[in-house]
This record gives sequence, C-alpha cells and structure tokens, in this order.
Amino acid sequence: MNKLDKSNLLDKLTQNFQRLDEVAESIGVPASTLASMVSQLEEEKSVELKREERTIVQLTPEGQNALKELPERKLVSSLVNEEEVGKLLERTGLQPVALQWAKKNNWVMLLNAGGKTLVKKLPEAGTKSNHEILLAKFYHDPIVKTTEELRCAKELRDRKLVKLLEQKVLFVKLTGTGKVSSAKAHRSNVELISQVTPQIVKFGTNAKLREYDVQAEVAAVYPGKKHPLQIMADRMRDVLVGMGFEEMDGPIVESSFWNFDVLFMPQNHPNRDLMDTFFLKQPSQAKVEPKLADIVKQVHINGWKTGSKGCASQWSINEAAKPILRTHTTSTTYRYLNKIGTGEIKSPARFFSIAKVFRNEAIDRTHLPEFHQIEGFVAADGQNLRTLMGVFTDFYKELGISKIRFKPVFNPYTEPSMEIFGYHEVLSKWVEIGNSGIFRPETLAPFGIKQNVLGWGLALERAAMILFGVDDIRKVVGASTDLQWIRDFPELPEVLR
Amino acid sequence: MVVVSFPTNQLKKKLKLSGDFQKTLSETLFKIGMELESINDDETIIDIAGAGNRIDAVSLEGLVRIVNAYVGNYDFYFPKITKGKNTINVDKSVADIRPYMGNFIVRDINIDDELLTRIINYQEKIASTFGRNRKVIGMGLFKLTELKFPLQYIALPAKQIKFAPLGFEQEMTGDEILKKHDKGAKYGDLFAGKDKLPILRDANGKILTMPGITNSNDLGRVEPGKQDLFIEATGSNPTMLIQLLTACALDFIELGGKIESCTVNYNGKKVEFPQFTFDKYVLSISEIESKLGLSLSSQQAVKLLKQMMLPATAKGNSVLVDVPRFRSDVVHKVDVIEDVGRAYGFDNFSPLAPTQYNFGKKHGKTILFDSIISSFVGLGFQQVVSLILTAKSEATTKANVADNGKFVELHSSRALGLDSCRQSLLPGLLAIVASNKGYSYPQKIFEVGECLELDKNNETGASTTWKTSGVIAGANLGFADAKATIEALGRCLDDYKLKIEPMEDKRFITGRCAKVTGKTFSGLFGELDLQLLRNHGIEMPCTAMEIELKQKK
Repeated sequence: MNKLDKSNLLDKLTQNFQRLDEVAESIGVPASTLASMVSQLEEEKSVELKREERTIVQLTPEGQNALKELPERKLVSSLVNEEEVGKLLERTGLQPVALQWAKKNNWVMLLNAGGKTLVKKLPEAGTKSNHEILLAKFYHDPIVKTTEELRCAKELRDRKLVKLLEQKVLFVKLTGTGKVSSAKAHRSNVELISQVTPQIVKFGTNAKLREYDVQAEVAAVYPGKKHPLQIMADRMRDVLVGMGFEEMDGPIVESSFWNFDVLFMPQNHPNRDLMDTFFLKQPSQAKVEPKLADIVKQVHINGWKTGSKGCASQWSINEAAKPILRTHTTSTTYRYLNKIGTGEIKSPARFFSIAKVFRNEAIDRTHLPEFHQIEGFVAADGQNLRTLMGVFTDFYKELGISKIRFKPVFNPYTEPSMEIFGYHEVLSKWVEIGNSGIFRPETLAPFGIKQNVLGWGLALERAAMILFGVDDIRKVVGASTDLQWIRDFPELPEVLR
Repeated sequence: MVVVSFPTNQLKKKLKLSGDFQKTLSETLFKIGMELESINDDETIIDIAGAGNRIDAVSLEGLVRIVNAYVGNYDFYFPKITKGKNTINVDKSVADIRPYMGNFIVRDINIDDELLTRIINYQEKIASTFGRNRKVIGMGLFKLTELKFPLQYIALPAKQIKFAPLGFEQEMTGDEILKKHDKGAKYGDLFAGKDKLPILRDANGKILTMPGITNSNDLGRVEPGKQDLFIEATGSNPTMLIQLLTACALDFIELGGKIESCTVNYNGKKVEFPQFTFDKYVLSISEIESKLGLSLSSQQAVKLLKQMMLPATAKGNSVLVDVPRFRSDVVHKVDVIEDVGRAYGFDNFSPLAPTQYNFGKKHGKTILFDSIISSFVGLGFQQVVSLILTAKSEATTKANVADNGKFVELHSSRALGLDSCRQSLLPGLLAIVASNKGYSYPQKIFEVGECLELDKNNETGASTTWKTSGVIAGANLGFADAKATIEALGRCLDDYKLKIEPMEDKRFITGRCAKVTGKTFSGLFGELDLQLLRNHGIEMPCTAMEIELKQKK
C-alpha cells in the first residue's frame, strides 16, 4: 500500500466527480481509509462530495440458468401452433407461471374450444420480452439506470431470478480551494497521516493521525465455515454422545438381506420395488451368510420359533442377495445387533449413526434422492415404550423442542411403533420429527436377542429445513448450492443456542 | 400412505363423537394412529396408514366401526349369516396366473347413487393400495339374478375368450381387450409372459369378468336400486383375500344387506367365504407390562382391547383375545399388545428416564472428518455438501477422467440424470463453483465425505472410501496456494513428511500437478486444466486437491 497523505491525495483528484471506490482502487488504498480522509477534506472545503444510492442487480443461480432460456421462451419454442393447456404443460414440464408470462408478453392467447382451453401462439412470440432483454443486460451491466429498468428488475426479483442490492456510492471532486491546497501542500510540511507504520510506532511522528469515519462501509469478509447441515449434525451428535450413545458405521452399498429381509419385510413389500429403492446394476450380487439366511427364511414363511405367523409365502436367497443403496441405516443397526448375538458387543448397548440413506425419488424443493438419517438403538434389559419416550424427551429437549407428543404408527419392523411430533413455535403447529418403535421379535430372534430393543430414526435435512427455515433444500445441498446463502448462514443459529 | 376420502355428512351421521366434530375427530384419529388430512362440508380426507395397515379401515363403514369402538360407542361382534349353497369351481389352470378367488352373495341391498359411487371408489382404492395396482388383489360386483351357478374360474388362451367388456357394446377377444380397452392397456402387464388369461364364467358360459382387467359390460354393470349382488375377489395373496371379504361382508350388513356365503372349490378342497371367525391369542399381563411399561390388570386389558374391536376375556393373569379375520396387521401377540397401548392412549404414558447409561463416543471416522473440517475452515474454506449420486458422464467425460470400471451403477433412477455413485468429490465441487459465478471471489470450498467403488472382496460387492477435496477459484491464486493448503493439512493430521512428486493427470495443467503421499492420506493437487474448467462453464482459474484418507482398521 502506498503511503498516502492529504497532499498527494489532492494530487490524485480532479475537478470532475469521480467514484471514491474507483479512486481508492487506482491508488491502492482501502475505500474506508480514503473515505475518512475525504470527509476531512470536505470540512476544509478542499473537496466536494456527492452521495448517490443505486440499485445493483445480481443474478441468482436460477437467473444464470434462465439467461439461456426463460421458461416462457421454452414454452413458446416448443409450441407449434396451438395445443391444449394441460398437455402443453405436462409435455414441457413447465409450471403454469411460464404460461402467465407468455400471455403477458402477448406471445400466446388462450382459446376455449369444445370445453378445452387451447394455447395459441401469436406472431409477437418472435420478439424479445423485457425480461429477456434486461436479464441479459443486467448480467453484463448490473446497475439499474431507469425507473423502467427498476420496475422490471423487481419483477425479475419476484421470479427469484435476481437479487437486488442497494448500494451507496460516494463521488468526490476537487474544489477551487482544494486545487490551491494541493499546490500549497507541496510547499508546506503540515501532515495528517492515515496509516500507522512500524516506524511511527517505534520512533513517533510530528504528524497528526487522522480520525476515521467509523461508519464508512468496508468490504465483507467471508471466513471459512462449516456447512449448515454439518452444524446441525454436530449438535445432534454431541447430544447423543452426551446421552451415552456410541457412534456406529456400516456399508452404504448394502444387500437386500440386511436392508429388508432381516427386518421382516416380505420380498414382495412395496418398498422393495425399483420405483422406491435404488437397485444396482453394479455390483450385481452381494454375499449372504447361508445359515442366517435359512433362519430368516423360516421367520418369513412360518415365524420360525417366534410365535409369529410369518409375513410371506415365498422367500428366495437370490432376492436377498440383490445389492442396493441402503434405504435406511437400520441395516447398520441390525449388523450391530448381530454383533450382540455373537457376543462381540455386550448388552446394555446404546448406538447411533448420522449417515446417508437413499430413496428412488425425483428432486424437488423438499426432496432429495439421498439424505442423512439419524438412527439409534438401545438394547438393554427393562426397555419398553415408556423408556423409548424417555429417550426422545431428553433428546429433543436438548435441541430446544420441549413440547412433543407421540402418535401410534405402523412400521413393518417395529411393534409398538410411534411417530414423534414436535410443536413448531413459528409455524404454530405439530410437525412430525421422528419415527421409532420396539423392534419386532421376528427381527431379533435370528440373533438370539430376547430383550426389547428400542430403535428410532429421523432425517437430518428435514430437521434442518424446519429449524433453519430452509424453503428449498437444493440451495443447501448439491450442484445448485447457493454459496452466498451458506456464506451468510450463521455459525451458531439462534435456534441451536 | 393410504388416504381415503368420504362424504363429510355421512361421517357426521355415523360417527358417535361428542363435542366439536372436527376437533374430536382429528384428536381421536391421531390417537388411533391416523391423520385427518383435510375436512370441508363435502369431503373428509383421512390418512389411515398409521393405523396399522388395516384393510378394514378403507371403507366408510369400517372406519366408523374403528372410531366408534375407540371412543367406547361400538361393541364389535360377527353377526349370523346364511350358509349358501352356491359353488365356484377353481380350475387348475389359474394356479400360476392368478391363483386365489373368494366370493359371497349380498341379498336385498338397497343401492342409491351415493352408495354406488362409494362402492366404486372403494374397489379402486383397495386395488390401488393393498392390491398394488390389482397385482395382489382386486374385486368386482355383479348382478346375481343373471347368473347360473356353479361358476367356473379358469384360465384360457386369449383368443378363446370373448365378451363385451365394460364400456363396450360389442364382444371382443381377450387379445383385443388387452389392446383396445383402456383398463386392458393399463393392467395387461399383470399377465405379461403368460399364455392364458383368467376368466370367471357361469354355468351358461357367460363371462362375468377377466379378473384384474375388466368386467363384463352386461353382468358387471351395477345400477342403483334394491337388488341381490354377487361379490368376487381374486389375487395372489390368499390371506388378504380372506381379510378383504370378511371386512367387506361386515360393511354390507351394516348397509342393510343380508349375507349368504359361497363355497369356493379348489379341486376338492372347499373354502367358504366370508369367514366370520377369529384367530386366538393369549397374553399375560407381564408380557403387556414388558412391552408397554404399564401394570394393568387383566380386566383393564380386556376393556382396552374392546376399544380396539378385539373381544377378550380375562383369565387370572392372562387375557384370551379373539382377533377377527379382517385384521391384516396382526401376525404376532406383540401386535395385540400394541393395541392395548393405542387404546390406553400414547398421550397417557409417562416417559421414563434410563436407569443406567453407556459410555458415549464418536466413531473414528467422525473424529477424522472433524479434524479435516476444522483444518479447512481454519484455512478459510467454506464447507459444502453434494450428493453421492452422480451422472457417470459428469464424473468421467466432463471431469476429464477415464472410466476405471469401478463405478457403482444404479439399475434405474427417478432422479433425472443420476445413474451412478461418485468415486471422487471434485466434480461435485466444480458444479458448485460453476453455479455460483455471480458471487464474489475468491471462492474457496471443500467437502469431506464418502465415495463408493466396486470391490469384489467386500461382502456387498462395493466399499466405501473416505475422501476430501478442495477448490480455490479466483484470480492470482495458483499451484503454490494448493501446495500450501496440502502441507497445512499434513501438519493438522500429524503427517509432517509428505512426499510430493510431479504427476500427469488430465484434470490438471501439465507441469502444474503433483502427487502427494503421506502416512494418513494420499492424492493429487494442482491447477485445474483449462478445458476442464470450460467444460463446466467456469471462467475463473481454479486450483484443486483431491485426497483419499486412510481408514484405520
């Protein structure tokens, strides 16, 4: 950084207004330093300042995608002449809002024919809309220049294509006096100093240290930070470790056997459908331990020694050997219960995990095909539905949710089963925050476990969306992550304090 | 989720609830395990799934029985029915096509428009939920007066089948129905690969239905009015068939019909429907206490079970329970014990704190990941999270990486474009840099997480690897910044003697890439290839690192 004082600053200014930040950049000093200097020069009437507010338009990731093609453009490009409204939207996968804008732009008109509503393309579809023109303009030149541009920018903002930022800009120019002082300064030794140097600290100075404008804007600094989901997961992990749970880990690529069969889910269960579960082309087969498989087969068909009627008339080891991406971490729970059976782990045992699970689902605002499940189990004597409720009362209280209630539910591998509802103070309603139960005897007998085992699970992303008020999970996870949103997200959100 | 919808006025008429209707209904359903989704003057929508997979909750009459019993305003019993003489013979040919059939007769049932609509909705709901789109079960109604018994359930080659299907006046062959009839096209897959189709015909050879597909336009078109009906259900699950017909017969009795049983003859083995019988369970009060943590007397348990439509008697410290044949969810005594808990009301349980604890601790993986995270964060990197699922083309061609044949690949995916699992974190980071061009630079991001690769030696055929990757996007930043970051990571992980050697890799600019090998990690770093950046639409120079973390055994 150059040494800067009043005299050589005045040298850098002209009698035309210049933007202060540009001057600062050209002479290589922080804008805040310069701002404090010029405000003093203003008092001495050496410079004149002009303050302007302006609006800057910043394209969101959606806006950048829309640069290529806005939804209404896509709509008219795929429309040949006319088409039934519902069919057009279904075929193009567009939202009705695309049609509204196309209509507003006078690109299409709606006709009623035989009880159906038709969309008809108009010749004006050849012309560019304000949105198209201005989105491209703002991409190159983000400053709003006219009231018409401002109106349009606000529409684009409402479409979530851009963000509007209000910016204060300071302009500075030399007055006649300033010009004279500049010349005089060269002759006199009156000094005002901005930057304290090591020399000044060591030897002192006759010059005066300038006072700063403490309210002047400074450039934002973004520290390295944890991801919001990590913050949430860390908090939950801390609570669980504090409650005496040990963390477990298991395979993501899992056999159907550990994911479904062991859990008393018949091989024709709807969850075991290609439409719900990610079955794999590669690897094509998993290994299943034949002895355990034979017991599980009997459990399914006639209940084995469990006193159960069973859940299926057929069971095939080939179906059990199909590898999948685990649909829940309960598969890992059962691998650990197996270790209790073999004596590798001793009861009482408390384990948890926070790990990825997969469901064959399309991506939208609230759904991802993979998410983190928080899973836990308690295998100890004397466990029952009331001790299960006790686990959640403690757990959620630590997370700041003290109003909870329990609802009976049906799960294939727990009985009794219950969903946990928490009262959301902001939404003023009960929301489902977890699912749990006592594992069925049919699922424990193959491992020789006779005591009650409590199990439960909840989704980390769902909890984060509720607690952090996230409206679209896609801006937090994956390719369309909104980096600025994450940069601005607090390290310690109020709800976790 | 199984969601049913009923006319609100019918529910109001039949449910015996006190107080504000909506509030009491919503609360009662919650306690039973169902959810009131929405209610207005016309329609009430209820999610019944949580009630325990109960087929008897799909009909209005069934739901009313459940709710009224729960609030103590209904005592369940099986009414007497007439033993009928009519027989349905099941031919061997259906065994590997659609093996099971069950039937009964309803006499003197008065059907108005409203009820007819409800019955049709009910059939559809059963077929689409419990029936899994008619695969597991489906049912139909026929005008009894036009039938001549005994009926025959048989599978015939499609060409030999001829009848007018619902909605058509003219006769069609089985083939034509599968092609031309909308239900034929929709459900034809049920019999894909079979050389025959099942039909039910009467003694005169008149076809009633091609089960699973469609009914006869003539016999299967039920109209409003007082009449006698023949009920048919078919499918692949014999237990569900019994449950469905038992629940359905109870509904018709409540609607004023008189039930007459039918005999289904499987080559000499005769089964009668509907089955108004019970499964017997014996519970001890100590078993109830062990599951629920409640010390109840056997008399209290009997009273609670009655609320769940389970007739029971107390005998010393035991409870003898009769579980009617429509309870599809009960296969073990724990299912009966849960009903005791539901009747007691989950809100009335007091949670218990544990009396002993275990030693809580984090997994070694978490401890390692935590230290990676705090190192990167200290170096000014923002953590990001991307998906394990990826498009193979994004992970190979677009990422300048050759397919090493180790990708875990999906069979089929509803998530657009995703067909494999990542082996590397770098492509995910580049996608994030690409979609954040509007924001200020430098952008320093990192991820730590799991990747997957095929591994024949592993039981599941794949293994999980632990990786971390970082990208620095910005002008005036380069190789030295990546190297400084790598060395800092080494110091953070107590890995001071890193071996750094020149490396050629298509992801990096030639001569600006290095391989790093330490005792805790190994990987690559350097300045990213310009074409790779252009492939992603990135307009800023980027340096990056991709590291595999060693797993301690």
